[in-house]
Amino acid sequence: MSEARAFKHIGQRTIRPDGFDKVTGKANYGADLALPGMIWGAILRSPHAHANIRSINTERAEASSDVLAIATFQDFPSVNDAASAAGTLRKDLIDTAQNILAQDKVLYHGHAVAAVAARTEAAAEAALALIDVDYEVLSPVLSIDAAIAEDAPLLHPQLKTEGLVEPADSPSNIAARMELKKGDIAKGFAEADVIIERSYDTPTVHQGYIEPHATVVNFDHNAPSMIWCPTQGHFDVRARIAQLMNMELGQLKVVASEIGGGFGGKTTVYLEPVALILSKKAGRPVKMVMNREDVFRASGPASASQSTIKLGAKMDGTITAMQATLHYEAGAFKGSPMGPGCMTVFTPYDVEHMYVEGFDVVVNKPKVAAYRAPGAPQSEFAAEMAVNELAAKIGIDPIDLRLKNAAREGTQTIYGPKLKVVGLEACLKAAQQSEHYQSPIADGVGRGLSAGFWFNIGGQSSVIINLNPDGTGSIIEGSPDIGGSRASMQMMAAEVLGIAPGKLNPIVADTEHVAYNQTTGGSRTTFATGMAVIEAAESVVSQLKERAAALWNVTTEQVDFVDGVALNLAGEDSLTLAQICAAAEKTGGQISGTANINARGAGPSFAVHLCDIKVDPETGKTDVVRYTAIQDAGKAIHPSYVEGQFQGGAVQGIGWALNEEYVYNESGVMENAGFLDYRIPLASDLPAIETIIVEVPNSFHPFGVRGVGETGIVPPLAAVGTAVADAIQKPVSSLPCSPPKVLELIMAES
Amino acid sequence: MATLKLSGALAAMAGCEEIEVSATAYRGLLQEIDSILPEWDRAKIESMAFVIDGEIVDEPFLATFERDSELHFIEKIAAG
Amino acid sequence: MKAHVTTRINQESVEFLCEPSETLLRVLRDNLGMTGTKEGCGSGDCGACSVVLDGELVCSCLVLGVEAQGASIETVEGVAASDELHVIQQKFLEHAALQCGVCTPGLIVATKALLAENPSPTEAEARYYLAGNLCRCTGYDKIIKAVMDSAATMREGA
Repeated sequence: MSEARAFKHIGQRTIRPDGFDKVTGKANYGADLALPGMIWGAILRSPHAHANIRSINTERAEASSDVLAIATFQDFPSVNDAASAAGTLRKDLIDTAQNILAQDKVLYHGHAVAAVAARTEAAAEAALALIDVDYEVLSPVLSIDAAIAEDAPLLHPQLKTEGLVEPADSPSNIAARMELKKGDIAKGFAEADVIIERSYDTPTVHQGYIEPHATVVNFDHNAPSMIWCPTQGHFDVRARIAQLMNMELGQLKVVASEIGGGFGGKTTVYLEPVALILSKKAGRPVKMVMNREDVFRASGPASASQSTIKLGAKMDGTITAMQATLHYEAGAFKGSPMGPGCMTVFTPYDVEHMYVEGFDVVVNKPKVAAYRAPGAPQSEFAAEMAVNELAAKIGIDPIDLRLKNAAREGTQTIYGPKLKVVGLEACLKAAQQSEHYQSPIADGVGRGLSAGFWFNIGGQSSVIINLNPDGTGSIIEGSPDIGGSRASMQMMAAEVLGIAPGKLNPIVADTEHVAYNQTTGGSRTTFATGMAVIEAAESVVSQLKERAAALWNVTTEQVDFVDGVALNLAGEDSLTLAQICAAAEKTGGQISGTANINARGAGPSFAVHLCDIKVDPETGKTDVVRYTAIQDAGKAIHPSYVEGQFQGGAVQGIGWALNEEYVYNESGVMENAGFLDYRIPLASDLPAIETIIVEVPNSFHPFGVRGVGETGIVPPLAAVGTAVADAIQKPVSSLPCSPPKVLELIMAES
Repeated sequence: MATLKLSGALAAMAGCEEIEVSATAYRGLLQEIDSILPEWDRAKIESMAFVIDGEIVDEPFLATFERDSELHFIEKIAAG
Repeated sequence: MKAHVTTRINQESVEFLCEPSETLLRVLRDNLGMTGTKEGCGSGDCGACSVVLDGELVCSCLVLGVEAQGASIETVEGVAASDELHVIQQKFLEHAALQCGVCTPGLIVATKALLAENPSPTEAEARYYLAGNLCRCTGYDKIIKAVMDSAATMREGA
C-alpha cells in the first residue's frame, strides 16, 4: 500500500467510546470490584534479599479464628505433582510458581512466601504475623559485577549458562549468552580511520503504572472460576493459572477489568493464582490488592544493564564496524530481555561488519518483567550515545552521520532478515527540517538526539462484529484497552462498513465470550486486532451484499457496497446498511462477521527524538526545556492517541534518563519503594512534548498501520544523555543523570 | 531454490551460514532439514518465528514461500 | 469500636460507620462503594485519590474517615451533572488527555479545584498545581492542553 488512500474515519480525532465512564469515575479497574461474601487475602513477604527457607510453620495461623485460608508453594498441584515434575514440566513454569510463592529459597527482598485470607484486609494483614518462617540468611548479589565475580554466591545452584560455545560444566549466575554476527568485525575495524570504545550503564527502573496489581477471584466447583484482574492479556492469565493449578482452560473465566497502565508490567501473574488457592480453600470470593511498596519490591521492574560499545568509522562518516557487549540483569530468575536487546542495538544502521554478545545475569532483585520495547532502551542508549560521540569526533552533524549509515529497505539486520520498507530516513529528515532542530541553542543548554528501533509483533486476534436490526452494532474483541484502542477498533470497522464510528460499541470481552487473543503488548493491538476487525467487517460487508441481492432478487455480483450503502448495479435501487439490517429477518436472520487471525507482517517503527536540556552548574539539576518526538506510524488511525503514545514513551524515557532508579542498601533492601523517592516525571518537570507523525505505510496491513506503542521509549535515554553531556561538556556514561551524579561530573577534572 | 540463512548456534551446528532448499513451504522445509542435518534441535526451531523475505511470521506452520525466497529463523519477540 | 460519621458528599447527606483508623479513601471506596476515587499509592504521592474537603484539595488517603464529620466532600462522582459532562471532563475527552484513565478522576477533581482558585492560570501555574497528580501514560502534554482549554472555555461561559 504505497499510494495515499482517502479515508473517511481513519485519521480523525473522534471521542473514545469508553471516555464518558473514565472521566466520571464509573469505569471499573482492578481494585473496584466487590462481591457478596468477599474476603481479603494478604501476602507475607521476605525480609531478606537472599536466604534459604528452613521451614514455614503455619500452625499458629491455622489455629486462629480470623484466618480462613492459607497458601504456600505446596498448594501448586502441577508443580508438586511428582509425575509432572519428572516429565516435561517446563522450567519457566517452576520459576513462575517459585516467584509467586517461594519454595525453598527467597531470592529478593519482598519475595512472596505465604498468604492468608481473612474477613477484612486489616485482619488478613495482621494474621501474617502468625506465620513463622525460619530463614538461613545468605549474602545478596546486587549487581552484574557481583553476580559474575569468580566467588559469587549462586542464586540457583543448578543454573548453568546456556549458549556457550563449550557447554558449561559448572553452575553460574549467568543464565544465558547470545552471540550475533554479521560480516567480519576485525576487517571492519581494520578499515576504520577512527575507533571509539565506551562503557555505559543503566539502573533498575519500574514501569510505574499508577494502578497497583489487584484481583478478585471466585473459585467455583461447578462452573468456571472467575478471575477479575487488570491485565494486558487475560487469555494468558487463564493459561498460566491452568498450568499452575492443573485445571482445564474451560474451568476458568478471566475477566479483564479496566487497566490502569501496564507498559509490559501486567503481562504476567502475581496475585491471581494465590487468590484462586485461597478462594478454593475458603469457599468464598477473595480480593487481593498490592500496596505501592509491594508493587516496587515485588513486581516489574526493568533490567539494569552494563554495555560496552566499540565503533569504527572512516573520516567521511562511513561506519565500518559496530561491536557491543551487553549485560542485562534478569532479577531473581533467568529471562531478561537480553535477546531483543542484542537484536535491536544496531538495527538503525546499515553497516557491513557487526558483532554483538549478550549475557542474561541473575541477581537478588525482583524478576524483571517486560517494559515497553523490552531490552531496547538499554542497548540502544549505549549505541546511540557512542554514535553521537563518533559524530562529534569526526566533526559531522549527528543526523547527517545517521543518514549516511541509515537502515533502509533491504538492509541486512544482524538478527537475520532484511528490512522491508521502513521510515528511519523519513524520520531523520523530518528531524533535520524541524523547527526544533533548526532553532538556536540557548546558553547553558545542551542538545541531544537519538534514533530508536523496535520490531513490533502481530499474532493471534479474534473479533466478532454483530449488527442489530436498526443498523447499530457491537465489536466484540479480546484485547484489553490500555490507551484508547477501543476508539481505533471502532474507526476501522466504521471505515469498512461506511457508518459512523459511534454506531458501533466496542466491547473487551472475557475469555468465555471471544476466542483467544494474544496479550495487548508488542505494539500489536491496533495492528493485529485492528486487522481482525477489518476482516470481520469485510465479512459483514459481503453478507450485506448477499442480503441486498436477495432483497432485489439479483446476483451478488450485481451488488456494490460503497460508504454504507448497497447499490443495485442492475437497476437504480439502493439500500443503507440499516435498511438491510432491518430486513435481515426476511433474508436469513441477523448479521454477524467474525475473524480469527494470526497476523503476519508487523511493521517496525523507527523514531528520532530531539531534546534540549538546561543544567544548573551549581546543583546539577536538569530541566528539559524542549522535546520533540518524531516517529513512523505507518498510518495513524487516531492521531491523538498516536501522539499520546509518542509523548508517553518519551516521558517514561526522560524519567529513566534523569531521575528513576532503584536504590538498594547493602542488604539488598530497596530504599526508595514509593513515589516520593522513586520519582517519576511530574507535570511541573516537563515542557510540551512536540510530536511529528511520519507515515510510511506498512504494506502488510490493509490501512498501512505500524504499531506505535513501544518505540517511543527507546530514543529518550540517549537524546537526554547526549543533551546533558552537551550542556556540561563532559561525557555521560551512567543513568540516571540525577543532580548528584551530574554535579559530580561537573566538578570532576576534565 | 530458496535460501535458508543460518546464524548463531544454528550456523555453528550446521557448519555453514546458508542452505539452499527445494521446499516451498515451512513444513517441507523442516523435513528437508531433518534429512540434511539430523542432529538439529527441531523442537527449538519450531518454537521460533520464521522470516520470509523480511516478513516475520510468528506461527509459520502453514506458511509457503517462493522459489527465490530468503528465509530465517529468529527468536520470537516478547512484548511490552 | 466504629465511629458514626455524618457528612455531605456531592451535596447529599451521608452517614457511615468506620474504624477510627480507616482513611476517607477507604470509606469512600469500600464502605460507600464510591470507587471513582482511585488508590495509586496510599501515601499522598500520586493524587489518584484527590477529593475536595471543605473547599480544599486533599489526598483522601491522608484524611481519616472520622475527619469527614460535619464536612462537605466533593468527589469525581459529583463533577458531572447527571448525564451532562462538566467542561473539564469534555475537554479531557476532546484532547485525548487520558490513556489508561486511572489517574483521570484525580486530575479532573484537581483541575476543577485549580480553576476555582485561579480561573486564568498560566501553563506553568497549571503544571505546578497539578504536580501532585501523577500520570504515567500521557507525558502530561495533552492533560495541560485540556486544562488550558477548559479554563478558556469556562471564562467565556462565566
